[in-house]
Amino acid sequence: MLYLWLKALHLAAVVTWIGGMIMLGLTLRHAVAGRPPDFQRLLAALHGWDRRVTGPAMGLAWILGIWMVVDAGWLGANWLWVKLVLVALLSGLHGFLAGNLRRLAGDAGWTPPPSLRLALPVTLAGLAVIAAMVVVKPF
Amino acid sequence: MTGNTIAFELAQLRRMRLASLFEGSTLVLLVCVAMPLKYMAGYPQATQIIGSVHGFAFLFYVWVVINTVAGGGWRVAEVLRLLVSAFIPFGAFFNVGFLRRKGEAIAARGML
Repeated sequence: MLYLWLKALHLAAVVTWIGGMIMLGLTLRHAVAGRPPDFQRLLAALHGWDRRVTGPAMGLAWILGIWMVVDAGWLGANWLWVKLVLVALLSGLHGFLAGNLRRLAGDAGWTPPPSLRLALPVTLAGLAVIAAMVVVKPF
Repeated sequence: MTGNTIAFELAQLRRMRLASLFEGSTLVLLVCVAMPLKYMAGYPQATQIIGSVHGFAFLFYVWVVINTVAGGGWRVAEVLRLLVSAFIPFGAFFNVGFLRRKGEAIAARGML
């Protein structure tokens, strides 16, 4: 049982680590592009990355995840419902963030809603609970 | 407000139109092809396959709607219209004109 909790935490830690590295890589790639750093251009680059990489990765995660559920016969398990609700919540949050990013990239005067301050804690907490549900399957 | 705003939002409206057409086409295939095949010709696999594709198309469409309206410039009634049309067979095809008019209006006044 300890092994499974360690594995869940390990998974959440790896996803947070790699997500942060991608964020650093994108920011620094912008800074070393040879032109003076420009916030609007950085936002446009993040918007492009979100459309070309993050979005498709989310779609792939959904397809492969549902495929796994069907293949392994997990449909109806309690832990899966908790996880599915959180995945739907995080996916919706991603869409909301992506839309605000697109608008902000094109319109420096755009003010995203203050509730978006909650995006980071919600994402991290969601990731931790999802990792616990899928790895430990506590109920 | 820069020229990029209009370009980004119009590109998003194009993606939204494609997502709507994809969702609408799979719903029509499900209702008009797969369900008759299941109930009249005895091929339950038809709804399983088309149903799965439509399920993903529907989720993708809802995601694109959230993404699109998060950029601002949408009334609640317009958002409801986009969501309700996904449940009505052939509803998506009425979205195409609606989204085109929305894009033309944005382009015409040069802002959202």
